[in-house]
Amino acid sequence: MTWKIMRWVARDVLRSSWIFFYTAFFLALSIAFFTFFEEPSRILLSLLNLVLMVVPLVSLIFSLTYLFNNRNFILLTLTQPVARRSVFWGYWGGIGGPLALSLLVGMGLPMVFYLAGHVSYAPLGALMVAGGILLSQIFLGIALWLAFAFEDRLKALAVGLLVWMALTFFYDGLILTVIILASAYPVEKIAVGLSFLNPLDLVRLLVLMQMDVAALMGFTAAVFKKFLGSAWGTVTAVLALMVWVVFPTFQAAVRFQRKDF
Amino acid sequence: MVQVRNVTKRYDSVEALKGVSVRFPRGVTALVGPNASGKTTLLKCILGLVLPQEGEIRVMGEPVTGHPEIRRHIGYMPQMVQFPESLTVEEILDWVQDIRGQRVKVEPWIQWLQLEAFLDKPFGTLSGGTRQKVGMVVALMFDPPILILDEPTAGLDPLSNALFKERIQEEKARGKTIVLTSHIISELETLADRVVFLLEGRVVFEGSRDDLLDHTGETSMERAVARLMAGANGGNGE
Amino acid sequence: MNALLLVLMMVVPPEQEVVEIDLLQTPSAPAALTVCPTCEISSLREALERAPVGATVYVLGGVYRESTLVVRKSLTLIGEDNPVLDGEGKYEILVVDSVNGFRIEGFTFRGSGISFMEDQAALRIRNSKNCIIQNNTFLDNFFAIYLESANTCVVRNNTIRGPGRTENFSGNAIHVWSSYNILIEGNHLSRHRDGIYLEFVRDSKILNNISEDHVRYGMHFMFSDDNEFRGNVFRRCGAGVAVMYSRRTRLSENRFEDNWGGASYGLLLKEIYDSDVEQNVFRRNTVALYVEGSDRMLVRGNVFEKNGWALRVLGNSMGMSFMYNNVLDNTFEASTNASRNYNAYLYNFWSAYVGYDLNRDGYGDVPHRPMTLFTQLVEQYPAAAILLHSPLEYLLQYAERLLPVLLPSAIEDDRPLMGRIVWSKSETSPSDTTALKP
Repeated sequence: MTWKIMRWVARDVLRSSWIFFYTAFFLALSIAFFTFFEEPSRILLSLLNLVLMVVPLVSLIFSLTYLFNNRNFILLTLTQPVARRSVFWGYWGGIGGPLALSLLVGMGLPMVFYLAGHVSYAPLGALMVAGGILLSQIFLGIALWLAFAFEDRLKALAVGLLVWMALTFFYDGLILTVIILASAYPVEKIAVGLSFLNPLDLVRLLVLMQMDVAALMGFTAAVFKKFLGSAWGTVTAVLALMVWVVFPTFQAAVRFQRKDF
Repeated sequence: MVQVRNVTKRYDSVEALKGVSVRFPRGVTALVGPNASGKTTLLKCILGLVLPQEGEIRVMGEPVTGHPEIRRHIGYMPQMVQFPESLTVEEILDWVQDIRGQRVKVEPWIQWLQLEAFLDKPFGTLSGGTRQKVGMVVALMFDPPILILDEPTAGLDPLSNALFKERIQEEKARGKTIVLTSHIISELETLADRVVFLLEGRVVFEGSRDDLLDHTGETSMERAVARLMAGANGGNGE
Repeated sequence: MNALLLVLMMVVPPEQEVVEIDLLQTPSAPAALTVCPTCEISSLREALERAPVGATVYVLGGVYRESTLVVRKSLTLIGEDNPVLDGEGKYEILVVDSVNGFRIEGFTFRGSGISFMEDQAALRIRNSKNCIIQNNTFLDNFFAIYLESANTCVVRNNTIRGPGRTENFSGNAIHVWSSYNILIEGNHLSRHRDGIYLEFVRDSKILNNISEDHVRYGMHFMFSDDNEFRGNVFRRCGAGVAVMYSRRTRLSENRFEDNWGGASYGLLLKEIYDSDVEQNVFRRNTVALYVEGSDRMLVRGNVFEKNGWALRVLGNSMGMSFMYNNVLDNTFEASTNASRNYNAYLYNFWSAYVGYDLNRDGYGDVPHRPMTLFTQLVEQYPAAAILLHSPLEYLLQYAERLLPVLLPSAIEDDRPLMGRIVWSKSETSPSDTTALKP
C-alpha cells in the first residue's frame, strides 16, 4: 500500500513545474560548468556550492509547499481504507524519490558524460551526488516535520527558513566564534568535532578532503582526515548523518500518526 | 450502523465535542447545527481523521481506531474536494480504485454526472462544481453501505443537484446509511428521515423528522431548526 | 675546448680575476690511457694510479666495482660507451681530493652507500678547484654530486635520479658546501631529498635546470650571497624551494609548479636581503611566495596563477616592492599577519579586483585590497580554514563587496591594473600591457 501511494505521489510530483525547473536548472548549470570551465576541480567546486546552498533550500521549500498544497488530498487519502503509516511513508518516498531523481538527472547525468574523460574524478562526483541526495532527504524530513507540526503554512515556512539559515550560516558562524575565542587552545579538534555534527559541513568537508584544496586547510585537514579515519570518527560521521536523516522524519511520522486532519 | 459513544474531542483550548453519543441507523440522517457546532469534527471522528480523547466509535460493530479497513464500508465526500492538481479525472478514478484495490465500472458514473468531457482534464483546471461532482463519484462508485457527505450540494448546478437528490433517494431505498450535512436546511427536508442537532459540541436533539416537528411545534424542518438555534442563542441576546 | 673556456669565463663575475684552468693549459701533449674490462689496464684504480698529472683516461663500456676511488691529481676522465661505476650500495664511488683541474664526463654512477653518520656521495670533490662534471648519469645514489670547498666548477647536463625514498634514506642530488664560482646548468634532477643544496656558496649561477619530484626541496640554500638563479624549473617537490639567510640573490625566469602539500611553498624566502624575484611563474603551489624577515625585496613581473596563497608576507618583512605582477585565480591572493603595511604594492593585475576605471587610464580608480576578511581570519586563526568554500565564506565575500571598509588594509595596491600584463620576450620592463594606455 505504501508503495502504491508513493507511486501516485511521485507521479504528481514529477509533473509539477517546480521539479521540472529544478532539474532543468541543475542540468543547465552542470552543462555550463562542464563546458566553460576547464579544470575539473573548479567544476566540482562550483557544483559543490550548488549542492550546499541550493539543494537544501529547494528541497525544503518545495516539500513544504507541496505538503501544504495537498493537505486536503492527504485528508481524502486517509478516508480510504489505508493505514496512516502507509500514507506517511508514501508521501515521504513520493517526494524524496523525485528530488533524488532530479539530482541524478540534473547533476549525475552530465557528470557521467564528462567524467568518462576524467575517470579519476568519478568517486568524487559520485560522492557529491550522494551528498546532494542525502541533504535533500534531510531537508525533506525537516519539511515533513514542520508541515505536520504547524497548521499555518507561513509559520512552517518561516521556521523552515530559520532552520536552513541556522545550518547553512549560523552554525559555521558558531564554529568560527569558537575558533576565535578558544584560539589559545588546540581548537582544530573542537572545530573538526563540531563540523561533524552539521550535515552541510560534513558533506562539504568530505568532498573537499578528496580534492587538492584540502592542502590549504593544513593542520585542520590532517586532523579531519585522522578523525574520519579513526573508528570514533567514522562512527560519529555515520551516526550524525543517520540522526539528521532519521530524526526529523521520525518526528514527522509520530506527529502524522497522532494528527487531527 | 454507526455508533458514537461519549466522544470528547479537545483541540488546544477548545472543546469541540463534549461527550457526544449518537447513532446513525439505516436511512438518511441530517446532521445539523450552527457553524462551529462540531458537525465536521464528528464526521471526521467517524472517518478516523480526528482522534478523540475519550469515547468510542463503532462502524458496523468494529471500533474505528486502529482499523483502517473499516473505511472500505464508507463513502466520504468532504466539504473541499481536492485531488492532486496534475492528475486527470480519469487518473483520479484510477487512483481511488488502485488505493482500494477494488475495480468497478466507472462509465455509468461518468455518464450520470456528464463528466465525459473532463476525463482527460487535470484536476487543477476544473471548476468548483465539477470538482464536487468528481468527489461525489469517488464517494459513491464503490457502492459502500455507509455514505458520509459533508455539504455535498455546495456549488452544484441545479441539474446535478436534482440528479444527486434522486440518487440519494435510490441509495436510501437500497437500505444504506447516509449522513448529510448542509447549510440549507430545506435541502435536507425532502431527504432526511432523522435529524441530529449539534450545538456547541453537544447533541441537543436526536430523533425522526416528525419528532422534531412535534418537539418544536413547527410545520417545516427549516423553521424547526431555526427555532432550536434561536432557543440556544436566545440567552446570548441574539 | 675554447667554448668551454668561454663558459668558465662567463661563470666568473667580470670584476673578479679569471681563474685559468690548468688542465687546459698543460704544456706538452697529455698522456692518454685506456681502461676496459679486456684491456691491458682493466682496473680503473690502476689507471688512475698510473696516469701522469694532466693525463686523459678513457674508460670504455663495462661495470666497474672497485670500492672507493680517490683522485689526487689533475686528470680528465672520459667515459665512452657508458661505463658504469657501481658503489654496490656500500661506499662512496669517486673522491677527488685537493686537485686543481679535474674533468669527468660520460659516466654512470650508481648505488653509492647509504649512511646515517656521514653523507656518502657518488662523486665528491673536496678542497679542489677548476673542475668540470658533465654529461654523466647518476642513478639511485645517496648523495650524487657533493662539492666541498670546490671552487670554479661546472656541473652541466647531468641526469641525476634518486631512489625516491623518505627524507632519512636519501641525500641531495647536487650538494655544494663552502664554494664559489660554481655553474650548475642544464641538469635534470629528480627523486632525491633536495634537488640542489647550497650552503656558504657565493658568486655562482644556477641556470636552466629541471628539479622535480624530490622528497623535500627542489632547491634549498642558505648563507649564500651574490648568486643568480635563472630559467630553472622546480616542480612537484614535497616542500618546494626554500631560500634562507642570504643577500643579493637574483631569482628570475624560473618556474615553480605543483609544489602542493600541507606545508609546501613555491618559493620560501627567509631573512633574504636586497634580492630580486623577477619574471618567474608560480603555478599551483600551496603557497606561491612566502616572505619572512626579508628586507628590500623586489618582486616584479611574476605570474602567480592558481595557487592556494599567491603571496604570504610576515610582518617582519619591510621595504618589499611588489610590482607589475599578474595575480591570477588564486584561492587567497595575499595574506599577512601585520596590521600595517611596510611594503609597496603597485601596478599589479589582480584577477579578484572588482573595481572600475572611469577615467580609462588603465588603472583601477579604487585601491585593491587583496587580503579578504576570510584570508585574514585564516592567517590569524589557521583552524578557520575549516570553513573554506562554506556558505559563510561566500557570505563574508558578499558583505565585503557591499562594504569594502570591512577589508583589512594591511595589503593595498593603490594602482591596480585593469588588464593582464603581457611581457615581450626580450625586455625586462613592461613594454606592453593590455591596460596601460598613454
